[in-house]
Amino acid sequence: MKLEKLGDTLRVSAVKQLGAVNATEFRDWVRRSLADDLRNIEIDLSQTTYLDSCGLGALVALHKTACNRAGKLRLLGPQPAVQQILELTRMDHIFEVLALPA
Amino acid sequence: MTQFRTPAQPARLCLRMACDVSAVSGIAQQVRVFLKQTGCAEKDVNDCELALVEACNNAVLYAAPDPARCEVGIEAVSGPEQIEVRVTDHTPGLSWPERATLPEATSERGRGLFIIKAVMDSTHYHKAPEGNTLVLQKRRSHQ
Repeated sequence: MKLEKLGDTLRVSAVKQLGAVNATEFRDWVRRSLADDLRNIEIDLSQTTYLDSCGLGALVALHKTACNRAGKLRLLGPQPAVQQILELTRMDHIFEVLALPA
Repeated sequence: MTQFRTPAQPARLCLRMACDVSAVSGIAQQVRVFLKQTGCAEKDVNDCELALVEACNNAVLYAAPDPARCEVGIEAVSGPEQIEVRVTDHTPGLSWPERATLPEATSERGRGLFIIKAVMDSTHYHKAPEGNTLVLQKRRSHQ
């Protein structure tokens, strides 16, 4: 996984999976990486092929982290299977979900 | 292009999984391949995989008292009209809800049962001393 600072946003990319096996570690790693001057979190899901309810829990936790800084959690370019889970659990109404530029 | 045919007789896949969440994605992949090989529609395969992942996660995360000794059993049956997936766990067992609702949006847990029930047509949970079995059923979409 990769981290990139873009203005006041921390972008996380190359996330292959987000599930019970790594959700807590992922959440804690992103939180530790969030410097004081960053308030938004962007997670590039374009390479994510596996998301389960534990992974959703990690995204909710990071959403709360960003909100506590008056920021947002944005999800970028989820693949159809991941988009299905977001819609099924109505998380697409909670998180900002954006397509990646072509 | 390979053409798969719906089997006239049910095809069956039986697997055992270590009580370890890192094993879940590999099991889900094996079941995905099996269902595709027996001609199941992509959406049915995706739904069954999603439910299976959540069921296996629960079977591992709530296993007791000694998770190291409690393998999880997985059986997938692909029939002409229906797909059935059975997950046998060694948890204390849970009270399977008639309906599952989503938790508060800010909750970091509690979406697994909702996902299972949302993507499958019927679900049953049988508690037994030798292991509890979650039965997940889905009518096949005909392509």
